[in-house]
Amino acid sequence: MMLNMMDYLPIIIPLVLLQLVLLITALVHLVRNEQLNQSNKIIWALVIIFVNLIGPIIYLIFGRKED
Amino acid sequence: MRYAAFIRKELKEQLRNYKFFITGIVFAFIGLLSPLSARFLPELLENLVDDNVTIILAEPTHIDSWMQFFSNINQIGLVVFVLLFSPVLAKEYSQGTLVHMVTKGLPRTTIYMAKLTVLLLTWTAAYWFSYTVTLGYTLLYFPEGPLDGLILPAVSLYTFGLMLASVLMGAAVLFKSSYAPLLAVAGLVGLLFIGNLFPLFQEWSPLQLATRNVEILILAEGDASLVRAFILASLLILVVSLSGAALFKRKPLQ
Repeated sequence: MMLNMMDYLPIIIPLVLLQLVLLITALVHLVRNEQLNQSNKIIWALVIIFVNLIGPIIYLIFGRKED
Repeated sequence: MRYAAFIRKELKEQLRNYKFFITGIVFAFIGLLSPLSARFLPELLENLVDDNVTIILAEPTHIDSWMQFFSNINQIGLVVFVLLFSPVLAKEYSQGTLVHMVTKGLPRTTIYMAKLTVLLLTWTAAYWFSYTVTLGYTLLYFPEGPLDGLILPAVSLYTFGLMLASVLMGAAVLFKSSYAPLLAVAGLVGLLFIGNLFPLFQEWSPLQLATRNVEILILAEGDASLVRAFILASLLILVVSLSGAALFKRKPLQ
């Protein structure tokens, strides 16, 4: 039996959108962050992009170093 | 008035440090994932196993969707919430930001109550938002599922969350470090689980509010021991909040 992807679209689209919003928010924040140096930024960028869902959240909680 | 102003300040701060954003995203994910995984897992299993092996799985129902929801809120939602809001007072202590406000005449009780209110409101909004999303998708994927009996298990897990949030706030007054309140909440939950080894304790334990949801959903009604759990949880919320406020009055702010 094949998975009928069409059935799941109404739930998969919002999931993907949420993921994208999270990814973009974290990346924009990272690019503008002046507290981190270049090499740290590259490492964070890799974490944000490749560690699904958890990566951007970890960055936004622990990586911001704003205060 | 000052209470409202402090709440506004607090809301703005949590918005700026992305805590509301992360909470919203995580709870939206839980809301979406629960019905999806209930619907999806049996089909996925069938696809993974090769054709010579037959596994017989019951057709998933709306109960599975809610089972996923309650366990996801327990294992992900509550953990993320407590983790995110554990430093609710620690930063104010370490930077001494509350000192100015108190010396300018802002009552300490106001500060405490405003912070507690924001914490409880955040939990309320996040939880019911997630609930609504799961409800919507459960109706979409399991249209045959009945709607009655859903409120009681949902309210009981909600009450459990309120209890953890007020314990978090109380512990935040008591300990100055960022993650000690988190440990205090984890410790409380751990103790409740250990207490569950004793049958008498089980009948009174507020932990029922978080562990018996599916059972209540299937039975569609509560029993005496659930009522006791509600009463104990409400009492605990009240006692912890009041003693936290009293303690905060005497606590040095730096």
